[in-house]
Amino acid sequence: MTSSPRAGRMESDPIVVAITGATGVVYGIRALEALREAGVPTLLVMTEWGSRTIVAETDRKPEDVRELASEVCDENEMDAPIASGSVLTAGMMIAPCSMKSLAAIAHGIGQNLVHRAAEGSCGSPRCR
Amino acid sequence: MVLRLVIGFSDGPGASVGIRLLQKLRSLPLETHLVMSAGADAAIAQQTGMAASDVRALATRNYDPRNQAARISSGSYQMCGMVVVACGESTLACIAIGYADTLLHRAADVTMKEARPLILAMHGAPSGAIEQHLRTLADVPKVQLRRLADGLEGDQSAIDAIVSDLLEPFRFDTLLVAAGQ
Repeated sequence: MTSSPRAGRMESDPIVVAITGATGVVYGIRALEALREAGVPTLLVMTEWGSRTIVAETDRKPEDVRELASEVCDENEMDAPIASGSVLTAGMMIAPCSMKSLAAIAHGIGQNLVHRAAEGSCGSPRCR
Repeated sequence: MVLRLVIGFSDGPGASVGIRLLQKLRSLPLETHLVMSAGADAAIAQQTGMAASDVRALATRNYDPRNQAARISSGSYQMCGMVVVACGESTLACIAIGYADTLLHRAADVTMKEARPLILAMHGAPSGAIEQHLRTLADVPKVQLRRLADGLEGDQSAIDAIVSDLLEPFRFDTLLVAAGQ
């Protein structure tokens, strides 16, 4: 279901899953399915080009992929809780991670929620 | 086989060199694939008084810089390389760190990935962080950096010499002979 992350707290900290614009969107989709099967809450951030790659590489619709996540945030939602490093998550995966996202995270450019959340995750003890 | 050259046109000083390059390439049997940055239109008008649409008309194909799905964003699309002129400082920074937020940066990324010549022509003597980026790019195989001198506007023979120098890595000389020049 797609609800605002501010609507209510989840029972345990979610794993943040980001799908960005590169080949390999099947990995992000499969991760969402596996976490759902395991009963682990997920928070999905899909970029515009991640969404277009799903259309190009799979038979799925981006809205069906969003349905797999417990919560969804827009990439431009810079006031989402995960934009802050002090908000607890169970970790983050970016699959697939585009070269642009990699560069943005490496250099701290932080132009969308994927970059911001990744920078927040890097500052958390889970990353060390 | 069709020869294709990608031209990136961003917003630094040197618009007249980019325009002359496009004019010269029209006489050669090859396709020019032009992608202008969002700031290029204003830079062209300011530096040369020419309308950006007239500059676009010189190229075989034009691309919207926001269209990351364009064919020149893929390495499997055959091209002989890319020239970025004028190459603004922010364009240079994005190319150096691999931050491909526009088609221009993405096409440059792909040119490096495929080890094709990438010629970056920028104006002035940069310092600080930009100088670091120049050092990074100097270590990438087949990337060549060219500095554009001050006061080029109106000096047609100097501009022509620069254009020949920018095209030198592509070895188009044989095409010039074939085209009867």
